[in-house]
Amino acid sequence: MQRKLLDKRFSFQFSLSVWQIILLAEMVILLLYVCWEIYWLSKVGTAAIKWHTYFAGFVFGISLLLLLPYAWVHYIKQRSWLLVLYVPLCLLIGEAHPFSNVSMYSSFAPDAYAFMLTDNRDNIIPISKYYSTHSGNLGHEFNSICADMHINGYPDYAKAENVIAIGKVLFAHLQLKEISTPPTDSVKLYMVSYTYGGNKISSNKTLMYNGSVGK
Amino acid sequence: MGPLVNKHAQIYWTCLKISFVFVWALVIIGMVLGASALCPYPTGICKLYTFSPLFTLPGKVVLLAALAFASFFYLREKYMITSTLVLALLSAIIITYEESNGLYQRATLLSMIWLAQSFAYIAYRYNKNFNLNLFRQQYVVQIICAGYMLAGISKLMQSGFEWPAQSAQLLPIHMMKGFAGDYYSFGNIAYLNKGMAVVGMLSEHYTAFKILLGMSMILELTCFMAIVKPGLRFVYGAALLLMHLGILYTMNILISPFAFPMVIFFMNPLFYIVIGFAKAKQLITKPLV
Repeated sequence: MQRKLLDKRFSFQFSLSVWQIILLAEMVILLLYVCWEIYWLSKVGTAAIKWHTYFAGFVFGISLLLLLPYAWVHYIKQRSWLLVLYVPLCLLIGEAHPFSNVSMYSSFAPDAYAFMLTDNRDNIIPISKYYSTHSGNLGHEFNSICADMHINGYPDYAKAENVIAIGKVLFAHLQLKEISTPPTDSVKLYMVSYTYGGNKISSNKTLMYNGSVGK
Repeated sequence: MGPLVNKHAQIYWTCLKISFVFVWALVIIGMVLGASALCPYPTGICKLYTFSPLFTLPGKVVLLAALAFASFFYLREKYMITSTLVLALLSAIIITYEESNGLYQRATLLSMIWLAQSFAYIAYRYNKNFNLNLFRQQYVVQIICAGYMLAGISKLMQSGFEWPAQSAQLLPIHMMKGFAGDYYSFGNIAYLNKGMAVVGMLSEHYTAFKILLGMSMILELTCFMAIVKPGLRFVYGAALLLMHLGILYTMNILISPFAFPMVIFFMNPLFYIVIGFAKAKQLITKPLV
């Protein structure tokens, strides 16, 4: 009785369309890739997540959209294809206009800074009154200067030699935007940094440039 | 879209175009006029070529003239593929040049909005059954939703679900920076006093701020719902506008290249103002029976 059951034969007949074959093949490759990634994740942790991880997800996602014939997929193709294409491209390419991963305030640094211009007696000179810019824009330029000089954020930028080098370049850029000359012979450019200590916000002024106001 | 919008589809589209060209021109013309002929930190396409000659005085005149011509044809609904592509290209060059001077205005969407519209007109050119009136706006909505979703995804990738709690903790110093920046720029101590008052308010309502930050993150991540359910577009527009007003109040920052296009394409306030005036005029001039 047992032998007869084991000898019983079943036959199957099935056919697959081209999109199903391609999708099955992709899923097999993806499964092998995922196993490989899990192995390396267990060995080296999140360092295993590299550009090919995002690329594999992107390629698989896009091929799903292109291959699946269902009505909701057709809806996505028709109504959301630009979003579905643009978001992964931005995440892959990063900051290169017109692509951006919009990372502003995605994490908050433990310090924040603004820029202040004073005369030689430390009286404030309103930046926007004499230059066609704003303290906030000086902050953006500061970041670009640091990146250009390979100075990586706090506390590197606060080191004495870096502060002077950055201040010189920043003030030179500021002078290019002069509307009228400030009513003083010499100016001081300060970086005012705000940090959180206990329950208090403390501010610290760092002198970045001290020199004549003329070009 | 609602029955009012369907009835006045052409006016709706014209109001959208006028509003967006106005906002875009304000930002772009400011960038052109303020640009120097230097390109110290080339980024994006400026790494291939700096386009510095375009930002000399004669170059600026040529650039502004090209922008004016392309905008004119766009508003007149003539040569739409050419005008939107030209505006996308010029927008990309100007914004990339601005970023190459170390000034990040977060103006990513401004160029992509032109490109999205050009895709719709190109599709219509090759397929007359293509619903141009729907998709020339819907493609732009997709781009705007993508921008907000990217903001949410970046928060998730950098800070995970801890972002609301982390932000509430460190927000006070970034708030102070925003208001202090205005004090140092304009010399009015009222900005600094306001900053201290807002920071004080945050410390008194810490939990409420955490909740608001969490809600803003969810709003950004679910922005695609404005595409899936077009009826939700106005709701998302209103919610995102409140979020931007909250950021303006607490941090003294307005991300105008995001906020204004979103308000225009999600809510189109100019259309309702125009219709409101037309209806009011009708009521006033209606003869008394």
